[in-house]
Amino acid sequence: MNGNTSAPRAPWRPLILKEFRETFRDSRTVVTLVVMPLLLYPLLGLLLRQFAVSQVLTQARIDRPSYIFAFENVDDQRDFFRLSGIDPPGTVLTEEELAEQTDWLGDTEDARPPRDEVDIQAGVTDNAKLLLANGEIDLAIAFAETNADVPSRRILMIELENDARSRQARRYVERKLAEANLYATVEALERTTGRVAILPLVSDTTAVKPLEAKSTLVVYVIPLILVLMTITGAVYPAIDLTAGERERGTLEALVATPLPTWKVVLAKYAAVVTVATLTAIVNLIASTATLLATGLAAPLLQGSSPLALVGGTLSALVVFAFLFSAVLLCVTGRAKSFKEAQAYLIPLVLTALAPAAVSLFPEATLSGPLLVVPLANVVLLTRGILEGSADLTTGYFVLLTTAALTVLALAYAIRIFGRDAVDSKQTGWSELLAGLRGDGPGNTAAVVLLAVTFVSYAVGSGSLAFLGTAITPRLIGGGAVTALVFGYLPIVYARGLGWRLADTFRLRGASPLGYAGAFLLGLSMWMFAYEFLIALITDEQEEQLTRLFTSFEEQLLAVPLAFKLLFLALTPAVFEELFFRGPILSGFGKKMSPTAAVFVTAIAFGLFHVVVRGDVFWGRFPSTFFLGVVLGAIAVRTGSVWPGVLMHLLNNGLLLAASHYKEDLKEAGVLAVESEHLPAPWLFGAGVVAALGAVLVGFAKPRPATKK
Amino acid sequence: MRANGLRRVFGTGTNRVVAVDELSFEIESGEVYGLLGPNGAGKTTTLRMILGLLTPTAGDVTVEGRSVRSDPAGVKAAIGYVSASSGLYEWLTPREHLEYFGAAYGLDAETTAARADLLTERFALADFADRACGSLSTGQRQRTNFARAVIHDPAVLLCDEPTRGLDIGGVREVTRFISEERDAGKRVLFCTHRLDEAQRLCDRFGLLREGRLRLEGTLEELRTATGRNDLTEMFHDLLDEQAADVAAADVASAGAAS
Repeated sequence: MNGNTSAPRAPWRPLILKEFRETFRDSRTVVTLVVMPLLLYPLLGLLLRQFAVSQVLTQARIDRPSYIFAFENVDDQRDFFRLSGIDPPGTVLTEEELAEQTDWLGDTEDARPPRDEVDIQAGVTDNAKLLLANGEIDLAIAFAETNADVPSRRILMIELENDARSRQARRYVERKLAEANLYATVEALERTTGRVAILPLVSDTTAVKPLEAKSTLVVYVIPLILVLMTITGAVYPAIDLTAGERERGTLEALVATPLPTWKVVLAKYAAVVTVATLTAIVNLIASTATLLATGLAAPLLQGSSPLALVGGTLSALVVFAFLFSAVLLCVTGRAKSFKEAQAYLIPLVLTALAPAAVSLFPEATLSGPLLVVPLANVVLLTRGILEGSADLTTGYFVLLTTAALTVLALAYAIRIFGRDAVDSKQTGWSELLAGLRGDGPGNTAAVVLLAVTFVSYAVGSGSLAFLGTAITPRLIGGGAVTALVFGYLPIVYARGLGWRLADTFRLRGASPLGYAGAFLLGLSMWMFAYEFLIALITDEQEEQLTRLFTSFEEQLLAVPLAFKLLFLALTPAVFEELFFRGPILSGFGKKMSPTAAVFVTAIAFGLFHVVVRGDVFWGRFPSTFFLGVVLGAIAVRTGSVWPGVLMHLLNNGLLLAASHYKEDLKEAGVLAVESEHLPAPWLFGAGVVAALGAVLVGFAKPRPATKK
Repeated sequence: MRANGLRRVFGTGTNRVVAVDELSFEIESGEVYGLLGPNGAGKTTTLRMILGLLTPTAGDVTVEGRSVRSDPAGVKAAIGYVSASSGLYEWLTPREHLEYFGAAYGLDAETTAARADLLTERFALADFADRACGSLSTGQRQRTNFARAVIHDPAVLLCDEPTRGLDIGGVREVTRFISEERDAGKRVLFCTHRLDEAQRLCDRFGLLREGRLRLEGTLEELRTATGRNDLTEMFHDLLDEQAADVAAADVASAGAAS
């Protein structure tokens, strides 16, 4: 199954259709997909309900309720306890008192409301609502001013919205007030004179919203259920379409066709992803319907909309299904039989469950290294969606990381599929590599290299968090990651594939005009990039930037400029240019026009720059994309990476220097104190210099390529 | 179709095995070539090299002017492959098999449909063309397999023990199929252990032993060369020679050890 010169072009439709027919006509798939969820969830629902009821009963028997009330003033507090019959804080009932709790209405000789074994704490505060919203008290109580026209004392209660405990406290008070009223009525009736004024107590309730969304049990558990659901759906078709091919003897006929392995695997992948997603959808619908039908939705979801939960979960689920299906094909593609595939899957499922279990830890957040841990980032994103705390930019980052990993997993699945049926030298890596090998990279090589580098960079930069907050190790670590990811890895990759390094990385020198133009562009373009950044940045992004850089910037000011220039200007300039304007631009340039290749490379360049200190900052994208376009154009025009390195170095260096001497420049009156913008004359001058630089670069001719 | 100096070595050092060595033969148009030999003679390795599934250590195969070394996919596109061990997709119908393999060989939907109609008639698939293959009889499955193998109207047909495990009716189907392909001007490479069958069907023979082509020619030429009347006797001689070689090698290694 080699892809090469006269291989016929196989149409996709019949290839995918075959995998779908094979999968969906198999009754075992249908059972997993439809019957199991329909039976499983009602049963689980009943069990859960039974469990919940028994828990509530046990809780009621064991727990001694305790509530915290807050009052506006001491008088209200005193009146409340006196009138309501609720024992004030610190009251301890004797056994005799507790024994008198039953049938008090029948005991007319000593009629009084029953007394409860409830611990009450009370206090006076001016900020009852805030305390309530923070969950520090259960109920705020106040007396409304007595209206002469209405013969009652009105008690105002404020509870915490959607909070079971606060609601219970309010109900408790309402019950006690009702009992107190009844007691007063009975007492009055007993008095033959009937002259005792009865002042009924009535209550009103309002609610405040909690300051922080409270996560419910479901929020922590759903991501785990999600993983299990997807695994359940995807496993069988993945085995059937890979190991099953061998077991049935169909693989032999398949590898005898000129169909390239990547097409076979992608068709299978489409089927597995579809089944995985459909299984999850059916499971989600069945579980939601069960929650609603059994009445468990309200207590478990605590006010969250089931539809919102389903929508949020589903979106993260699709991401997960794409990655997991690719990983499944990697594992099952190695197996020669169903039995062997099942044996391989046990460790995979355990491996998948471990990062998924991260969602059970409330303190785990989607930041730092967890941003790039496969699966863990998806489940944490799901949890964020369910909690309503998910950040869109982080969501995109998780999507990108997952997409990159999916590409890698698929590449590996293609590499191993049908390997035992054909010569190991002829399939898998060799087939993939055959497309990548040659004098230089092509489109596919550029995409694979970007995927590998993106994951490596995300992991590398995320790992810097382990170096602590001290600036020096972080700068050195960051430089090392940049050199390793953008320099060392691509060179190893290029050498392994036999690419000509000088051509791939554009190592040959440029004409003097090229260097001169790049120098002028380097002197000027940073100002436009900077203006771009502050013009397009939103308030939210600015806040994020401040959060990310406030302590960093202060620390950075203490670092000598030369040190900063080495790690934040020279290192990225050399290695990023080698990578982006090397194999990536060359690879895309094979099939695309130079302009399209420059733009695509600039998008990739911009995307890499949104990872900032273990977080994702999309506000950086427009300015880095813009610089990427300029740097790409320089590389194409001069045919060399070095003018781009010079411009990149100047760009970063001048930005660093401006930041380093910002206060001095303000004192000297060069920079305006009140404005973030650069002075207009600077921008005008930069425009002239940039135009001159562009003209020089435009006239620069690439030096001839090295001979083969 | 021409194999030229084919050689395939597996393993290295003491595990080095020469599975096929200096193998050259040619198949003419409208000819059935029987590649015969005992187990381990190198038949399957040869077939796999022709199909582009194994890279030859040396030598080359050209099919319809395409080299398996430089254009394995082009070679595959020119070959139809039939094997007793080839299975069918249980949930797909014969018609869907033809549709799928038509696409796999790069045919467009229209050509595939036209070829499928032709083959449905030729192999009498109409009665079960829309039934899942899991429910078909052995004979029906076999006919489906033939149709699948020639959906792209290949110039060369590779048959690897296509009659293994078949009853007499099944064998007759295979024989008829191969004869028809020959009559249609196809080149057929036929590998089997059933020498009587080969003798009836093949126009020329290549007898392999330990990866080398020991005898080649028509039945008459082989009879003249060996003095034997049928393939079975020639085969016995081959096996005896092999046994003698092994014994001699054992004696030599025992002598070296002492």
